[in-house]
Amino acid sequence: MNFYVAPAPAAGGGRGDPYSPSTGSSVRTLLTGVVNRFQPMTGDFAAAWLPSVLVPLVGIGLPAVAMALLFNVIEARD
Amino acid sequence: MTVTPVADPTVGNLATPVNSSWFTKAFINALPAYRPALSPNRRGLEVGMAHGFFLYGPFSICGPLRNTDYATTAGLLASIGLVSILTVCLSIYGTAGRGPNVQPPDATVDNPPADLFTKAGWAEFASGFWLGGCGGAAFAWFLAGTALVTPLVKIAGGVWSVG
Repeated sequence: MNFYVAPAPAAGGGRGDPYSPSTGSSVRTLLTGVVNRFQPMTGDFAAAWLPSVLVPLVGIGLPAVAMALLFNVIEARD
Repeated sequence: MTVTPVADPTVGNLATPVNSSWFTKAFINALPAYRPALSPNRRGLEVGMAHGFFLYGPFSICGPLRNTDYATTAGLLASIGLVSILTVCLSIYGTAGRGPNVQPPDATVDNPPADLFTKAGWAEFASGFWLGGCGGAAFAWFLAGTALVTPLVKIAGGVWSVG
């Protein structure tokens, strides 16, 4: 199942919005709907660049420092 | 060449063709980690050069930016990044507890370098490793940019259907 195929015209009636009750929402239509909602991962809130800095920092930088310090703690001999 | 106990027969430490044939001893003792009469910094330099040199290829040929103009630059920066991470790991290994584990003499290495397995020696080794790693990656980056090597890079890229 390739999520990145260009969305085909939605089956059944309605404006092709997969979430409108009138459309028989088959799995493909549902996924196509999800694909339509793909947005670049930024927002129009203040300092929209901040998540792209903090997420790697908290996800990679902080664990690396924590692991290094814990290594010293667990290997301490005196 | 038979299998014989290294010292005390009741201790399970055997000299076998794998760990004590002339080829194995010659090869292992010639490595920068065990070659006699080298300073720890010099050992780290040589080990780093080898690692930096071979890390550049996979990053530049198979890295995420392989099909862009920045493939070589990204490969160089990624190699330096990984060498830096490895250096941090070497450093915290050397500072933890009472310092690096002292390697005892065994069937392959008759006298492991004593000055390497100290806190100061290991710190020297780590700094040499970083310098050698960055130098090796830069040298590989420079070589891969020359007209002589570029065709080989394309062949390697073709092997992984990257080019």
